[in-house]
Amino acid sequence: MQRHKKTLGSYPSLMVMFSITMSLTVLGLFALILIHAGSFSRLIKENIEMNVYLNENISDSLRMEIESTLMRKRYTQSPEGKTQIRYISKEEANKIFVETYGEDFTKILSDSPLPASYVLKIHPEYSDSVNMRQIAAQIAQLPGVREVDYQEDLINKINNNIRTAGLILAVSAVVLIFVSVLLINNTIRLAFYSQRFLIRSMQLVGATRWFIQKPFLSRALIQGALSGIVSVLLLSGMLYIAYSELRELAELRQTEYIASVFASLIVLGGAIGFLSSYRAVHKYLNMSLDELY
Amino acid sequence: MEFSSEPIVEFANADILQDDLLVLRNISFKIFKGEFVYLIGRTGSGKSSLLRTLYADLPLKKGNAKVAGYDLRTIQKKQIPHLRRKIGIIFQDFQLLNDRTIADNLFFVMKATGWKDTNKMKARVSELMMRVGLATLSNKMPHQLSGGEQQRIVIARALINEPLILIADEPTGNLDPEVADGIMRLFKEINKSGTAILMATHNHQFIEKYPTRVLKIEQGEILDSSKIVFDITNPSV
Ligand SMILES: Nc1ncnc2c1ncn2[C@@H]1O[C@H](COP(=O)(O)OP(=O)(O)OP(=O)(O)O)[C@@H](O)[C@H]1O
Ligand SMILES: [Mg+2]
Repeated sequence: MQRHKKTLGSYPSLMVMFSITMSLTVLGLFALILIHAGSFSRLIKENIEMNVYLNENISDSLRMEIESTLMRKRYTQSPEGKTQIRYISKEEANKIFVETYGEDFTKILSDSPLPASYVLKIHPEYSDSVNMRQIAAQIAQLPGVREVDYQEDLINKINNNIRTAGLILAVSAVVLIFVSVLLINNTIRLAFYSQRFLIRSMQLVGATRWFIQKPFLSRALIQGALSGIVSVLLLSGMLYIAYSELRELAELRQTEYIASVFASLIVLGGAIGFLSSYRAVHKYLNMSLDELY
Repeated sequence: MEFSSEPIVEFANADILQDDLLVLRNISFKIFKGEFVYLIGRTGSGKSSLLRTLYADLPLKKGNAKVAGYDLRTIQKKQIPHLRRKIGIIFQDFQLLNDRTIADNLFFVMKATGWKDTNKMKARVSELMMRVGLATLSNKMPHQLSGGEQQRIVIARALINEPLILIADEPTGNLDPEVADGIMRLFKEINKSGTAILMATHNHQFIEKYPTRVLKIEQGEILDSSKIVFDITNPSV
């Protein structure tokens, strides 16, 4: 015959672990975004591009003149001192267009409407909006240049997005941690109620408070730390996906920071479990067991 | 003063309260080592309340009381478990745990009171089972035992930590007279080996059959048969 013996300090743990894991994952996501935000905006800055579209039927000599003017500018140099100018001929522009959008104008029109252009990679120092606007205006003055464009305020946009996402994650993490604490509190209250005879018996025979608390506390501590480990696994998965989607991000990763975030999540999980169960156990040990329901 | 003459229980001008209800006022009595004392009084007179005050389940707010060397007025929360290890409690609302065997019921108490050595624990269990006359039943579940047998196990459980005093609240209440008589004889035997006993009871036949000191609660006061003579039978009980 299978006996079902009640053990002190046991309680249904699935919801508790799920909730702590959620909180820690969101919190970890927030921390990872903070860590990567710096690298990410640096990455964006280093890849700011400006398109200089040339007039139709521009003469080769005028084109070469534009090219040498651009090459002499400091903003077309990479931080390592390499000139970062790429020429895209009408044919190439059309090819890129066909590859991207799958439509070929040359089949309908005799000539491609896409102009030849230079693509400039802008030195990070000049990537702020004021400089970019000035540079664009200057280049637009050059004879033979039809139009200049670039993605305005890309960095600001990205920074704002990061900030908004970070804020949402931080607030959600706080809310979720709060929910976890409440959930643990309630779970322990129910456990106390269903184990009230055990607890009462222990109190009557002279078990110390510590002896009665210990199973609850150690269980919550272990479950918190386990939840931390689960959330670290989840976050590692997310990082892996992010890195394989964004190679450049992977190159800029800061392993020590990430490792310390992961370690902190495990410790924090244990702490959330321990402290909130400690609070609950104390509260309910001070109450008469009949008042629990 | 000699150690052995120090009372195990000493109440002096103590009030017994249930929440804000004053149950007993200004009571004083002493119980010494090895004494057997009945506690009687009509229903609702405050017997259980007095016993619960004795093991610090109800707080003492007025007067003085000392039990097993602990002062109930000043006792700290963390000392209460240690007080209770010196008291064996036999209460109707303190039943055996139904989800485990008799032996496990006793082990449970031992673990809760700091026993560590498994061999010593096993030895103690067989010793206690023998003492209450149920040596062969340790692997049974509580529901497989008769009411009288269960009560013997409850007594064995109360004896685990060799208490100075057993506090029993109507230990024969639900038992038929013959079985109850067996339980009484077990109490007498335990008492003979030196454990004091304070027993609340309504059963006057036992008091006549096994006469000893009686504390009677009457109108919120305690009458002590060792000091005055009174009739234990009360028409209103
Ligand atoms: N948990 C409680 N909370 C409040 N009042 C209580 C509580 N238990 C008992 N009382 C009250 O305290 C008084 C004494 O009750 P107590 O249980 O001590 O009497 P008793 O002598 O043990 O009675 P009985 O012989 O029926 O067991 C009664 O008036 C009762 O109503
Ligand atoms: Mg009673």
